[in-house]
Amino acid sequence: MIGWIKHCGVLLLLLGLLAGCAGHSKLQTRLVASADTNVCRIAVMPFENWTRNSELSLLVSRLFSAELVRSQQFNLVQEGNVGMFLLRHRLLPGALLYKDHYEALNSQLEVDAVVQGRVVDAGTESRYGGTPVPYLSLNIDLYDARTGQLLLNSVHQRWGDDYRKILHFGVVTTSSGLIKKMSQEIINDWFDKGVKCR
Amino acid sequence: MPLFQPLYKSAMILLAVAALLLFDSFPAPAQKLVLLPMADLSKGENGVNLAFTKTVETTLKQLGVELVSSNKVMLFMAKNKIRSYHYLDDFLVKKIGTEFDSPLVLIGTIAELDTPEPSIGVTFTALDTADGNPVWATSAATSAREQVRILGIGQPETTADLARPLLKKALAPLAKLAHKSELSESRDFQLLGLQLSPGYVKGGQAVEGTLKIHFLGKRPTLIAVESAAGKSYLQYDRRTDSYQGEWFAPRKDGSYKVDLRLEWGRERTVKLIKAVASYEVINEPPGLSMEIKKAVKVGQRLAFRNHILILPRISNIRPMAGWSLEIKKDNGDSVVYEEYEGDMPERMVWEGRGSDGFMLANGVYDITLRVWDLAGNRSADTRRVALQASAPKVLARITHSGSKANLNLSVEGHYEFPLTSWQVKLQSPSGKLLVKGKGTELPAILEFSPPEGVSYALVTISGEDLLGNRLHIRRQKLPIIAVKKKIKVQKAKSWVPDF
Repeated sequence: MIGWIKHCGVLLLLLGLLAGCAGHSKLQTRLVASADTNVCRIAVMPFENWTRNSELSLLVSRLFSAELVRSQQFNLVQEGNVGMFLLRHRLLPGALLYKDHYEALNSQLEVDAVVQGRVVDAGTESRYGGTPVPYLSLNIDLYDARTGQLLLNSVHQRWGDDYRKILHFGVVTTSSGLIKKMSQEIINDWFDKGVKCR
Repeated sequence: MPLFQPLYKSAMILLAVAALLLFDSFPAPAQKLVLLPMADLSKGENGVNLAFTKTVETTLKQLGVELVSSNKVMLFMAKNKIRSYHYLDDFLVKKIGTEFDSPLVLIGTIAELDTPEPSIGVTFTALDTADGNPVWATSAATSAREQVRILGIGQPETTADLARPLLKKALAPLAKLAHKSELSESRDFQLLGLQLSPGYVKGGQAVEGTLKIHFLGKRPTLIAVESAAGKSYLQYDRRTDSYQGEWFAPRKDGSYKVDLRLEWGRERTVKLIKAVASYEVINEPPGLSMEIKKAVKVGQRLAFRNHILILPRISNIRPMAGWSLEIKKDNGDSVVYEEYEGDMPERMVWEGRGSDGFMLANGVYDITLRVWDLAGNRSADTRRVALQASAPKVLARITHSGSKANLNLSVEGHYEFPLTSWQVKLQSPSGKLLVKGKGTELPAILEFSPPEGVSYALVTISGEDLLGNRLHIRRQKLPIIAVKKKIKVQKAKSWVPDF
């Protein structure tokens, strides 16, 4: 009996240690008080890039769009349609959108909401003296295309080893893997906060 | 015979069931999918990886997906100028569907490849050719570090080792996706843009519209633009492959949205596309006024000696087309002319120089600011300023007659404002003070006794004008000129005999 209790104690201690290794999520989503959370069709604008990696913004917007489709919660506007819209309105990627632009997006592409995001920081870093892991910081705004008002803002930051389960298992070692996981977390958080197609 | 009847019936039922089972056991007709070349972001924003596309093609074939020949796809892309997925819109997706009779278009992006160890990241999106919308997507990534095996048995060492299982796992659900080929609606179109020229007009002015649009099927019989000005039909221009038309803007100020109306055939099927473009009517000229700062007000006049600030004020903000600044002399000669496009600066500094960069002479100048908006409405404002960059010149002269001499001071040249104070000191060459004086007005005469045998004296003059310009003449040599006495010849009142 005493042996069994000892075993249980050691197991609990181990679990506690492992739980301590796991990173805490830094995802924060702030919903606007008067937000109309009934969102069915979304357009993802090209992400702004605040990093030195010039392809990263395109990579993040493609992976984020893919995760939006994969979530099966929303109907996504094809990237080419957004590109054509920007071309028609002579807008550069990352350009500030005015109320007229949201109205046009709503009437021409029939979108309810528009994702405008920026890659704030990205790179690889060796934390806790281990092998380098990727890290990424995202800041995403979701605008209501029907009113042109901000619906919500999500700020998220993660390191690849935040997903460590035990030993090296679970550690995300690729940037695209990290973007995918973070996108899933953000989309799930939106869904949990009531942003869904009703 | 009656014995055979039930047997015959049973045999027929069995045959039917067998046929049904047999038909069911046949695989469903394979999906004919269009795989576009994989974009490769590891090679840059417009990178393409044809070798990896081949790997994806092989994986899809292994999963039982029938693909349209890559050569045909490449030919289609070249013909339709598809260089990247940035502009692959629903129109082009539907066109691909119609061209290859395919229900799905698969586009993929390589997010990373071999950085810095064997690693791979991909994302795929399947687009429905019926409406061009994404219907399925997946993304997957892994690296050699994430695939550690027990005792290193079967440990992937290259990207190819990582790619094969990753692609199989990622693309497996796509093979299950059942879509039936649907012919796309023949009235689909790709709106490239409606350009209005000019975008800002005065009321009643003509607006020209150029519409660029592609149609998947039959072109509409009529295309019209609708706005508050009414409906006007556009004409097709074969040379530019565009529709063109002209209409007159409404009289009232405001922003006018333009809708597009497509009309097909006799039955007049109408498709209305709202708010495709807009133009603005502006009738009022921009309210321009000018303020001059750093100038001194002298009576009703503004004067300066160093520089002035020109502050334009525009009361009704609107898109400006350009502005100009002109400075003229009081005789009408232009000394400065600057013209620029776009908005006017908040402030301008004028240092009293001409367009050539040289200082201008003292005098009166008219500063005119002109501004015009994109609709061609103009307004202007003028201010008159007096420039006096240096104090008036003082001319000193000594006249000598008998034992007394006079120092004459007078102002020479053109000036706007006189000296408000002056001091003078006259010394002999040996340094002896001959006369000293001060005053506020010129001309002035100062009397002194010239020393014997001296032909010149040294004068020092200082003074200041109203604007603060200082005059300083130091030890200027002045000759002492003796004034000849005029002998008055008295005319005889009448002839008087000498004797």
